[in-house]
Amino acid sequence: MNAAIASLKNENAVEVEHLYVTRDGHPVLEDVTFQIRVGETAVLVGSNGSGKTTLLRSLLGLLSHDSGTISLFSKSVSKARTEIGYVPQGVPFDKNFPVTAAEVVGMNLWNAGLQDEERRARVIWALEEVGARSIAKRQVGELSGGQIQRVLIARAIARRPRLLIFDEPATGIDAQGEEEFYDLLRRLKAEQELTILMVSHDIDVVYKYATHVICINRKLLCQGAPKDALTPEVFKQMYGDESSFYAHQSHGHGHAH
Amino acid sequence: MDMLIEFLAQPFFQRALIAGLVVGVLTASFGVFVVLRKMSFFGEGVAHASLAGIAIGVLAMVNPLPVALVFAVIVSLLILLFERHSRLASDTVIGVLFSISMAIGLVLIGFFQGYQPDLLTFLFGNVLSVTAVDVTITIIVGAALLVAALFLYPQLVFSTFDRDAAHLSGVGTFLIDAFLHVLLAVVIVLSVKLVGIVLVSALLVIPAATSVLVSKTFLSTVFWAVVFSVGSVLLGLLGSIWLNVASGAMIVLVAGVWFLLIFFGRRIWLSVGARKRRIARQASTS
Repeated sequence: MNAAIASLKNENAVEVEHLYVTRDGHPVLEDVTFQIRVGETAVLVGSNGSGKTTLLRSLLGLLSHDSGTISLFSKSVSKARTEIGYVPQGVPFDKNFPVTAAEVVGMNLWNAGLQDEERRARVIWALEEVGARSIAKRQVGELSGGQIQRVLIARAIARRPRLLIFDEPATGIDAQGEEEFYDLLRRLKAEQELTILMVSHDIDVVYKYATHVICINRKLLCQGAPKDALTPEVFKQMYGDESSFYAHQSHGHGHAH
Repeated sequence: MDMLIEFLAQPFFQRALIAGLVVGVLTASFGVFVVLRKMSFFGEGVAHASLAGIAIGVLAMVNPLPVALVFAVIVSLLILLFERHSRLASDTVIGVLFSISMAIGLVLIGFFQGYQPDLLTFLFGNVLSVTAVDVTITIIVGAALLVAALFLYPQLVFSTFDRDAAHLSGVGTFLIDAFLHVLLAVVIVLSVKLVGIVLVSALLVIPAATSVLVSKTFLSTVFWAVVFSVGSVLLGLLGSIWLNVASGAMIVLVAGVWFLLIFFGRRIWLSVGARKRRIARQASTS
């Protein structure tokens, strides 16, 4: 009863129920069920080959699933598209492509119903939000990994989404860049009331930034607040033989707090 | 100069010029997508596949152009469907389908008796061969394609740049692919009489590739590709009449010279710039 009242109060940004996906006859995801409430910073974590990329692509509507349901803000994925901002991993395009940073951001607004002038203003706003106004006219091929990530975040937030999804956000940026990235994320989240979902193989991200964690290894292994959800048993199921290393890390971290 | 004016007064040259300009604009602006989507082999494949359509047209004693158009569109869509519904890579699918079509074309040609000037025209391109009907078809179809492409321009660019993100924003990426395949098939066939099957894909690739070397934005890439392409068509057509050689070869040769000049010119420019900076650095440190 209490749970029912709580779910009415807290709308779910993401709701996945009994999701099954098979690829070439092999099960990739089995009976995966989880929720992310509006306003959370969630991390979906799993080792390589755990099915997290498949789950991400299913959430984005880029991949069809065999059975189960996915809803975003209580709508089907195709209806909720405009509410999602997606920041892909690394450099998802040909670096020689002749486009400027501003053009990249503007592309995502092709059907946003904006006049030319409004669209230009929105592009500048988005680039300013991520601290990339000064590189607006630079060709994307000339930019560093961190700068490209900023441009891709600007592209995602330009549509004013409610849910921002990142695929392996720490790939291709150095330690300092990573700190700046998470600072930026915290600011954006606060300013624009975003729900954030990061997909990562890196358990550190969970401890540093997540309010909610979902771990998978083909099946759902855990979900909840990181300190409750990540038990040594879960580590073992996630990482197998490597688990002692990770369990140790989590243990140490637990002490630090 | 006199020779130029003399040419311009000739109806056959006027027809070739109009068709050439339309074809130059079409191949360049759509060629940018060919280059950026790494579809050069598609152009080659569909051009060769259109030989079967041309052979059917010649055999049935009708205008081969519309027959080749329909045939090339069918092949281009088959390529898309085979790619989507098999594990085969795009170049493999194109390799298979274009060889089958070309073989059909060659078998059909075997049924003809004697010398076939029409077929030579289609293989290598001929300024003299462009009829008033061809010019009319080229202008009407070409204008329709440009209008359709302008209408779908943001979706074409977005899906070329980042397919997943485009899909997520609501671009129907499969339909856009299908549209681009059909559009390229039509452009290729429209260009065949002037440039010839053997070299037509070069007109899709070379001006766009030249432009990519020097452009920073997408719009400027399209603009310079059109400039290079129209320039090549004009000079190539004049050259082909002047030297009495196949128009296709001359047009592609001019486009190739542009490319090589810009390619090496840019290299030299960049290395001179780097050297100057190095010298300036050394001077400031010593």
